Amino acid sequence: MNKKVLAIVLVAVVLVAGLFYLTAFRDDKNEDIPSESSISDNVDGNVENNEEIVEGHEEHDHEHYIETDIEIGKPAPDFTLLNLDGEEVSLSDYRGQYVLINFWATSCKYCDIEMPDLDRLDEENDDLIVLAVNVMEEKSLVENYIKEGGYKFPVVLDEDGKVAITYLVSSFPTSYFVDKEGILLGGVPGMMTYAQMNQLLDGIRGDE
Amino acid sequence: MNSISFFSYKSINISYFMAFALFSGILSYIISSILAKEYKMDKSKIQDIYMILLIVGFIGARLGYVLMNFNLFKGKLLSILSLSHYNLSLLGGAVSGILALAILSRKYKMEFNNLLSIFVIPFYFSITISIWVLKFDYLMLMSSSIGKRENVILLVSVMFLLAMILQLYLENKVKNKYITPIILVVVMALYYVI
Repeated sequence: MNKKVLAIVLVAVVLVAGLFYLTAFRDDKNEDIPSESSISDNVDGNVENNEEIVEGHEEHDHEHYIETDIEIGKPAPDFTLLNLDGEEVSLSDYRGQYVLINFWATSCKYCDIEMPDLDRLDEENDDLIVLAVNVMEEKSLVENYIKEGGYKFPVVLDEDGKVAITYLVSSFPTSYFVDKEGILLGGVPGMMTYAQMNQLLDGIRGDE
Repeated sequence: MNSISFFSYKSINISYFMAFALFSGILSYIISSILAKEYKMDKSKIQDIYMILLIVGFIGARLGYVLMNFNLFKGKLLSILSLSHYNLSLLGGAVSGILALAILSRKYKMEFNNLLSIFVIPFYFSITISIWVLKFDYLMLMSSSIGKRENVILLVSVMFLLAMILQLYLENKVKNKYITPIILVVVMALYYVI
């Protein structure tokens, strides 16, 4: 092997070692966070509990605020929004079920295509709830859209877009999967097909 | 730290998959160019072939996934066009790449075995690096065949790294045209067995 070929091998070895070190370091950091059961206790409350955590962060403890930030393997930030009947709905209401949080808007063409599949997924899976979060649109507009589509899944209104900001939504649709314990499993920016939704759901179930 | 994206600013969102794909794609392009010179082949032709293989490999990876999971697409053939990095197949990409290479070797009047022995190196290199994206993208990890078993990612990465080293070493030592395909078949079989 000449020098150039050796350099290719060396670069590959260094990159593998670097990635191993980086991911091992990340894993170690995750081990430092509270155990899953204590995390579950933290997310067991409603939005008031989270507000307390944020207040605690502002006044005393910086680390508590991180628990409201978005990160895979950590509790999904809880939120309470109004549904189309004007009732309060929290993410934590669905503990014990998988939740697919879908951020959408009536003006989004791909959301329109995805909606029937989300409805079908919600209907066909007892252990999954599709929670559709409409972002910053008029209630009447959303009501008409849902009524026309005949969709059965719960729809909540993120009127000021704060939940979408918390969940780093930069385009519609964006979906997140949350497990039965309220832990954020991951996000999918963009439209999913029914096949993809099932594939991911099977993967999530198989992982437990 | 935001673990969903590698980089996110306003409407710009770069996923970990895209970041890894870009990084390994660029490095593989450089490696192909270096090897073209080493093997005394036309560098510009090799670069052209690399770009074609990249596109064909991506399409093949998607078609491979569709064929392997055809029951998911029955009655919804249009959804085949809905691409995401969660639904690609490594085997589909490799097979389509080899088929494309066979056609391109005729078109560019270059020996197929020589081309294969060049392009398996960036292929092994890309997998060695890109497999680590599973550690960053949890959903991708769950939807992959590798699953969430400890150290499997390291094992796969090291396996492809060893395949690359073996290929580079034996290429000059053993003048046998079957060495490259044998290493490729063995490493791909081990990937799916693991």
